[in-house]
Amino acid sequence: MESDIVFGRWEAIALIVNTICARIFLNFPRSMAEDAGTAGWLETIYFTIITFLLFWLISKLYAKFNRQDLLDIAELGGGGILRVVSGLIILALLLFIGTIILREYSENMKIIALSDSPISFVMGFFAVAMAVAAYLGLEGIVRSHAIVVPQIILALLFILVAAVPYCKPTNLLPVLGNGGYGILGKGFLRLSTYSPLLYLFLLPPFIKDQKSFKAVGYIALGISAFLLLGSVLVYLLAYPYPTQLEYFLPVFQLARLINYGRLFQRLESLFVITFAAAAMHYLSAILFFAIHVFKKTFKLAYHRPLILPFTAIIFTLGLLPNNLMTVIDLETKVSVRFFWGVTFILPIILLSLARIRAVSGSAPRSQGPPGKNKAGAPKESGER
Amino acid sequence: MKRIVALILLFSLCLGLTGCYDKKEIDDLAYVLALGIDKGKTNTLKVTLQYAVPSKLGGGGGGLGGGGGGSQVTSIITVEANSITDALSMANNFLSRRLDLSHSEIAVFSEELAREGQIAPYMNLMNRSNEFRPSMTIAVSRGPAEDYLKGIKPVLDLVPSKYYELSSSSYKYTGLTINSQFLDFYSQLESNAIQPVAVLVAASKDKSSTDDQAGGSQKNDKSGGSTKEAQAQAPQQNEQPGASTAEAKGRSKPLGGDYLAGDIPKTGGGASEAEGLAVFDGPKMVGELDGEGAMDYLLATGAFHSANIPFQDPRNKELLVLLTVRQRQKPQRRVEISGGKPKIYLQIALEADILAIQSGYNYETPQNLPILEQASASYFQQTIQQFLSSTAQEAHADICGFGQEARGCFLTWKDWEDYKWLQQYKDATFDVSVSMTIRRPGLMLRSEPYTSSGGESQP
Repeated sequence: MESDIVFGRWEAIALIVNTICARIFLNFPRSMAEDAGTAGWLETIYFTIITFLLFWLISKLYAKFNRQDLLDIAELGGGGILRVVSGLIILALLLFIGTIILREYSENMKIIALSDSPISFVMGFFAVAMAVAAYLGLEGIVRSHAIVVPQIILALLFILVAAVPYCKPTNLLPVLGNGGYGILGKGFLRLSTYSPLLYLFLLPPFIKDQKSFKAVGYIALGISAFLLLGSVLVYLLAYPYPTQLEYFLPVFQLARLINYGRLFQRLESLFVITFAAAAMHYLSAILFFAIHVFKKTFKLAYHRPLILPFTAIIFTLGLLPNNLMTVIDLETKVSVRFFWGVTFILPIILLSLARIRAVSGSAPRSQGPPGKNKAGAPKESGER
Repeated sequence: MKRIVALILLFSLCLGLTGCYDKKEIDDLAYVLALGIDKGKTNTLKVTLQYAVPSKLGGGGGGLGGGGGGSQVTSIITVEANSITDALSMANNFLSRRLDLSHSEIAVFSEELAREGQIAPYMNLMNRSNEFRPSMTIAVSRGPAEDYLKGIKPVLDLVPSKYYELSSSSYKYTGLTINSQFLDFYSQLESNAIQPVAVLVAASKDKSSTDDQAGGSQKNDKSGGSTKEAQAQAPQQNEQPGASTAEAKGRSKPLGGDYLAGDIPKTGGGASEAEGLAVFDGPKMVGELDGEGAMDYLLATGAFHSANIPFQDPRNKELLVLLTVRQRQKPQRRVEISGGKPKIYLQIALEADILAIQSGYNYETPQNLPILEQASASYFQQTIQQFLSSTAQEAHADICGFGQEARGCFLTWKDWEDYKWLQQYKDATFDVSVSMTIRRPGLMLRSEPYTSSGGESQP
């Protein structure tokens, strides 16, 4: 389904990179140490390679579906029922991530900067930003990403580079860390790290063509892999095992290390700004896509009336967990177990079904030029 | 309508930006600069807090006079409590400003606490709390930490935090103390490849400084505790200043590195000292090393910057040759596991400039220079070899962290854990080699003999 909004590759890349790499500011480097110990960096390389292979496969399957997102393809593959089922699965994932991430980011902000503020007050700020962003629509969100994400990347790289003098190569020994199961077994489930790639499968109506889709995917994966690996390597090198297992905000801990003389220290203030910017953009994207998927799943005409209810749901659900430890536990367990399946297996199944039906002639193949809407449904605008 | 909504939203966001819940005015806070932790008499701990008095900082030169500067720009309180946070809460009951630890430069534990292994419970707080800095210095005081802090009277620095920052980096040009930051200490406590060390500090036994310190204590300390009592509590401190480790090393006269903190023979310059290091086996202090031990530690770990080092003249044992020594490159460290026992190889490359040759012998010539290079290399080789052997056989503590290299001999963490490095370290053997290259002779290319009515003589 085509859209009347089409944005460039960089906007889409920035969106995907931020949604993948926002976890760097949470506990991603620590979770690598948790799985594989001193070999956390090998684990990162391992599941990144698998992700590239899976994306290669998915983009091959996608080749015949120009400017159609996952829900369009679900409809092509199994009709309205499959569209609704797929939409609900994706919606559940987005609502879960939105809820957990909103609470986690707010709790982290409370720990590092706003210790006396009530959690609802901190969450309220993020919720307002999410709602405003969703009101402005996808165009506003991606354009904001295009401007802010390079700054977030620069700030992150600055922290990582500044922490390099604190790195000790011997902290990576023994080379295989927790062994084969830690790297390969647990590493496979860490494919969920790249689960925000799911947003890319919802973006085709807003991207020019299939070539752009592939380019956006590969470039975003490449940049994300570089940042994920860089953050894991620097963290593992700077903090020895098992101390590295203790900190749930590894990049914040790296920023706290930086101390060049009396005037150049306490760079965690840079982290706080970067962290808040990444969080706000990430949460904005989640809310928009949740509303977008709901609207598309049930073929609604407008998305703006859904903004307040969805914001209220995410905000309220976010307040349910008793404490931060529960939130981290939920995020780790649920996301690791299920998200990789929704991101990689679901699209492969849907694309395969759609291709089978296209070959058998029971479903139309969509290769039409931009601007034509073969399904007859309202155009994607992301604005209404 | 849209604009009105946007304006309302904007204004409501602006209200939030004032941070009403978390506002902290700088002049509402009292910044703790140093923390002293002793065993308490009426409770578990005696916590000494030295905090800045900002109103005295802006007054110009007044604070610099004599030893009084430190006492004016900082104040000290001591509280007996069952934990550090409890002590802070109690202190906040009688201070007008809220105590803030985000500018703490040093945490000093008494030797008594350290030797009983009671440091660990307080490390957790320091690691968990957002206020403590990872770069905060961890020190062990020979004698009460309270006395050490009360003896600190910066003469040259008006800003007390600058005093701590500069003095904690003096190892870079003396080599007689070490850099022991909280994060390193903490991670070494948890590590199975390296054991922790801390800077060794003490209240000075110099009588003039001590008298001054006692006066200062009475002025600042309402909770009591005198220096005499403090010295009585010091577990292993010598009675007189000037006690050195030279005799044990077979030297007739002590060198600068042959002292432990508190024993430096001096008068004036404040009543607190730092020299040497405290050796830990896990959370328990098991020994202390003098200034030379600290230098060997720095050389073996690659943390040595430069220092002026005296050693015996190869041709005249009564006189000294002084070199400004630098580490040419990081030490090459290698560990082999042979027959289940660790074999440690350490290669140290040094370079030096000649600072003084008391004998006046012309070591500067290309023919004689190798004599000096060989003699100095041999001196370092012997002291480092002895130092490493003592860490293994006496302290049973791998403070130089050779276990970090030893991990390379194993493929997985489980294999490494099963080897139990810290237990095996006591059986380690060391192969130390030191190379010395003398680069520059200072401003003199050769020495001419002094002359007198009796003829020529060496200086």
